[in-house]
Amino acid sequence: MAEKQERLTGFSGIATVLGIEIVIYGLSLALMLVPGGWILIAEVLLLVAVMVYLRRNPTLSAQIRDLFAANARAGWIGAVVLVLLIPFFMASSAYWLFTIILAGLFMTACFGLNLQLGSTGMVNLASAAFYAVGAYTAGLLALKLGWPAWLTLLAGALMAGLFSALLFIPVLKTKGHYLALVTIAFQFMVTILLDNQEWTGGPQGLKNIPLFSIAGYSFNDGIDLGFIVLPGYANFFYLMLLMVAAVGIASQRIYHSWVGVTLSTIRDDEIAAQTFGVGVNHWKLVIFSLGNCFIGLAGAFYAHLVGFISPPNFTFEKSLVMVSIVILGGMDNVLGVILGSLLLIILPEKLRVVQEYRFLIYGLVLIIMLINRPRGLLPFKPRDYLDLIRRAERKRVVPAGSEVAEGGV
Amino acid sequence: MTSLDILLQQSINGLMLGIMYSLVAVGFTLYFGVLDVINFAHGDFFMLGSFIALALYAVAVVAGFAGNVFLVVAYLFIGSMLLTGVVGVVTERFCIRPVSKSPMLISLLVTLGLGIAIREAVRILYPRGSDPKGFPTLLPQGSFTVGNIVIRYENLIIFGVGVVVIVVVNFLINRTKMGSAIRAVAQDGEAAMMMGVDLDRTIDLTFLIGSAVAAVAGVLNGFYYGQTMFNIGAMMGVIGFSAAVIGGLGNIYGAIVGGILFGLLETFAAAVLPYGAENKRVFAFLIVILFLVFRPTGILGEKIFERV
Repeated sequence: MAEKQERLTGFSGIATVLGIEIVIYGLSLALMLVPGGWILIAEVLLLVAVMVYLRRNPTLSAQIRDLFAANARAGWIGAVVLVLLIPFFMASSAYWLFTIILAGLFMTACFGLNLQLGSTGMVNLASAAFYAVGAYTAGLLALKLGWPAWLTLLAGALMAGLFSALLFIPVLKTKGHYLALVTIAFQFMVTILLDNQEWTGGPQGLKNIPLFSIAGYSFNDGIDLGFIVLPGYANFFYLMLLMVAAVGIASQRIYHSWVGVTLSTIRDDEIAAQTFGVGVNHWKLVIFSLGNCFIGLAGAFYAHLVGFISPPNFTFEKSLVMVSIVILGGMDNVLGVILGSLLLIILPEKLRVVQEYRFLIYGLVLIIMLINRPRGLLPFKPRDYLDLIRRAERKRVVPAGSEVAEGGV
Repeated sequence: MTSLDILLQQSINGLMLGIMYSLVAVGFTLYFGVLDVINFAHGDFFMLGSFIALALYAVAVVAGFAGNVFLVVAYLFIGSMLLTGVVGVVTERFCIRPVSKSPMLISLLVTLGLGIAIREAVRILYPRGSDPKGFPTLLPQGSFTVGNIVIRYENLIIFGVGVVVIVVVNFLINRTKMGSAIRAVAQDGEAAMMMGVDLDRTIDLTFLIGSAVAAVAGVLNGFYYGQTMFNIGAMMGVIGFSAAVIGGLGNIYGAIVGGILFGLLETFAAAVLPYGAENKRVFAFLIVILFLVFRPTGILGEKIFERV
């Protein structure tokens, strides 16, 4: 046992973990940076082959899982460093960096949507509407009142939260198909209104929204490091990382807290939850607003990222993309949202080669995936309380050194 | 014009729109009955119907029988109904049936994805499919007046066709053996099967009828507006679903009433409210949301109790 532990956590273990991470990282970067469609086909084939191989060899996949579990800290540090390095590889391809930032915005929004859809089981097909509320709030405040960007971000998030109140009564009184219809109707209402109002710029939308700048430092300037000049998007990239990390960690904390458990009970059986004294209505409203705050935050960031917003950016199709991210990634799963956003935002950009057929492929893939793998790429796992207890015990035992001195457990 | 005239004129316009919405709503209600699925791609069958009619018309022009108006209109309606119906059955078999037992979110997304696929397929396959397509003017133009109210012949025919289709569907569902099979499956699929109802065939037939009726609505819509476009289905799907829900989901009369109500709401909002023309749908959807909150089972729906 000790020998196995040694083999797992020793230098070779860490090296293997980092090696796997670097290979995945390199393949993902190559997917974006290598021009042409063949790389996509090659990598998809490779991925399928690896997945089939791993499924045939459950011991190997179990070993890899153990390895990552044993070297969690090294694995995380490696992953963070690799992610931080992304702009360095994108110095001459700002377009892809922009796409990655966009994927980050979808992650942020979908963390919020996942709280509603995945954790609590509330259907929300109006996420693009709340995204729009965030974006227009930020844009209008920056243009008309000259608020600084960091303040408009907060305002956008809050405003999206406040707008949730419009749907409070329907959220409590309807569910399933009916709630889906309410949110779809709301989505269409918002798009139509944005199109018709004078003060939102109508179909032309808002132009020249100031980009981020903090204390006189404009985010549009490249970062000159002497040996390399990073494109201006690198600034946005790091800010996006900050936002994704904050919202993602918050979501993860919610999932692991008693609030997360409460939400699960509401999702699984509302009536049983109510019988056991869970404030179903209270939590539904809290999560609906909080989720929309996250979506609004992402929308506000979007306004300051592109500087130009108009109603076609916030149509029902965008809501659909967000819902597919949550479902394809795996419901109630923060990692699933990250994976789903990367796949659904970055791959279609690669498919620009087949521009004409892009949405057709998107629709077909959606159908095939959902019929064959309805639980998503990273299926939701029941909470493992035994593991939680084990971890808590390990924590209690290890630092003390000897159990006797502590008077036993 | 007196205000009574305006009221009547708008009612007629509203009925026109409403009858088309009813035809789409009927499909939603039928599918929900037999498969418990909301088919969000249904609006795209409406669009598909209009495009198939356009393609058939092109064939008729080439074949040289486009001159006989009566024949060609009948041919457009019947051809479009048949072909759209077949597409409806095929997609039901391969896309909708496999997810009919899945959680509601999955079936919702699959049908939405199906809608995207149909829309894009039409856009790509139809020559210059991204542009709005003009519809041939086949119905008699001109109008007559009753008092101060103007009634166009074309509108009268559209309304008449709509009513005839609704009467026929009603007859099929309520008076034939096939219809009683559909109603039996809608009540309890397993029990119906045990009584000797062929489940697969019944579901196929339901989708054939639903898609064909949507195709009629699509062709009527094409004649009414004089054009069609590949992306009109999404909005029509939401309107059709709304109409079915306002009337009471699962109830065929409800769908008809709901569709007409939605049409009337829209036209009156456009005529009466300030900025109504642009915001008529905002108003109509607002009413839909209120309906869902205060009377979720619709006008003609039964009261549902939640069993624990």
